[in-house]
Amino acid sequence: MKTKTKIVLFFASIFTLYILIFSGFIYYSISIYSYNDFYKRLELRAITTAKIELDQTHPEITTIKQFRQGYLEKLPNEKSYILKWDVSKSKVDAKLMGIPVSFLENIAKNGTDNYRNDGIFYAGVVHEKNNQKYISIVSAQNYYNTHHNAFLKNLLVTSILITIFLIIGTGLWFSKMVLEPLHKITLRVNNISSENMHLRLPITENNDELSALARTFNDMLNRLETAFETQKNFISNASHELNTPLTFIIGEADVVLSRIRTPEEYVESINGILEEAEKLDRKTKALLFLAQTGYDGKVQKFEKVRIDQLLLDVKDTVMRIIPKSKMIIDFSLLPESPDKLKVKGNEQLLHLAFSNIIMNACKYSSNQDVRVSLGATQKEVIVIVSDKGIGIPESEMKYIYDPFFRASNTNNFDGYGIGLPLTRNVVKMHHGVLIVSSVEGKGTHVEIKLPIGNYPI
Amino acid sequence: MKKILIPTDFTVESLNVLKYVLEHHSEKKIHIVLVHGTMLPDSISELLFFRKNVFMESLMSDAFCEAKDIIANKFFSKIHRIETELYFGFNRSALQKFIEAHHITEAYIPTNYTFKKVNKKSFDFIPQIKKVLPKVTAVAMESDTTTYVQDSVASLFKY
Repeated sequence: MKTKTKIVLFFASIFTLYILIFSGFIYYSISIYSYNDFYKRLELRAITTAKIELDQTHPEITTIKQFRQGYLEKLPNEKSYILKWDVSKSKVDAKLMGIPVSFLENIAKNGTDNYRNDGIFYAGVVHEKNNQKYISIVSAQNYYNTHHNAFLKNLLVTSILITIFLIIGTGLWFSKMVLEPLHKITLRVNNISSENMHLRLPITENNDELSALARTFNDMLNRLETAFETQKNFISNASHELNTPLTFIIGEADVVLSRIRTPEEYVESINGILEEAEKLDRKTKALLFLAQTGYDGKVQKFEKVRIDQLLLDVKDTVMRIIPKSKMIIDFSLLPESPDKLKVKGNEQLLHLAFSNIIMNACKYSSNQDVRVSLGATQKEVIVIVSDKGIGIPESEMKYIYDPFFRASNTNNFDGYGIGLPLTRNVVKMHHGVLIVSSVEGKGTHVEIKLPIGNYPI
Repeated sequence: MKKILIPTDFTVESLNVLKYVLEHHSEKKIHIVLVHGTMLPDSISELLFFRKNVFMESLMSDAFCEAKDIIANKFFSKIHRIETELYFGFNRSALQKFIEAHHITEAYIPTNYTFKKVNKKSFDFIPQIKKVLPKVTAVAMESDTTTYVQDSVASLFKY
């Protein structure tokens, strides 16, 4: 069932139920009230009749007569009976009047009683005179019941029908109003495919749930678009990167083989070939490593790693590879408790990740100071690597995790764009967060947050 | 035990005063109250659903909480407690009452530092502190020209 129909049905059934209960209650109460009211009128007439007929000597008899004549209108089919109460004769009396004996008995016992037979209503009272019980009964047709209640019933039924139509109409309008934007979004999203990934959903000004949904879709589309582009870039970059050394090797070999050369020339060209082959080897190894770390299914051995110790090891490595680098480790906010520095992780991978980041910082800042600061919160170890290097252009920030991507301002530096994606993979494997923020020409901040190993060490 | 007031604008930058206090104070155990000055909302419906802690948490950034944690871990043995509080007053006697209520004995305030407004109604109440508290120490802060990252834990490691 469509949501639209569901909304309308739900809407209509709730309101109809409510209206039915409401009108049922009104109808019931009005009938009860009109019955009681009518019995009271009959009773009043029975009392006055008894007074007029039996108490001829009553001092106020004329007033009562006037009251009866002046104020009590004649009811439709009004009849009054007065009979002397006699238990032995009650059956005959009842039969004569067409009423049950129990009615008479109840009047005699309780002093008053009501009885109803179809549209004819009876009310009776006891009147005592000279120690003799008399029963006065008045009967009449209940005009109010037959006419007023029927009118009320018709009124309620028609109004219920009208209201149901109104409710269904409002429900349709309401569901349309609610679902129309959703429908539009669906249509729009359906139109977007891999060919026109640049299309976005229109976002309305107001900050409601639907514009939030549209915004979420747009964010997702942004990410998808980037991912698509990454894929495209990766293939072209990778083939380019692998091709360059290969072209060099083939070309060099071709040239050398074109004629007989001196041994020195052979040595020189083979050295060149070797160098390029080594480069190729490094690139493929890095690629392999990237693939390994990016693959979630592979189980890595995790053990406790102390981050401060690791940073010192990384410093040794960095100093060995780039002897001119100036790496300053800032332990000024080292936590007092060493427990806060222990992370559950793979030491080699973390070593690789940190040395990648730090060596990048050294490289792109032309061996200026690189600050590596360490701190720990209750849940995470935070390592901040900041340099004053060339930075990353803002427009290229979203591509920095693409393998083989190199920012436009890195032409003067060696490298092939595997380090950062590799580092991100490693950090992700450790359930950590890697945040890179940078301003071109001023420097780069890299913040790595790793969760503290939540096991007793 | 001393209870020290430090005004804060809920940026990592302003926590450098806290770092300075913990590094330089001679007392063995310190109780610190980080106080942020802000006005109460003035619409009745906002006031009806106003919860101080919820409001305070909405003002504090993640970086601020992280930086506070880092400092708390660094000076673990020296800290009795670090509290964060909101101050809603606007004149001297209100601050006087606030200080009495919290049994605050001294304050450390940053100099060369402009308070950032995390919220439209935040205000800088350092001038009031200077007038009300008898013992106020000024901490010189270097003006922030080198950092290009907005409100990050990195601002803690500059000095």
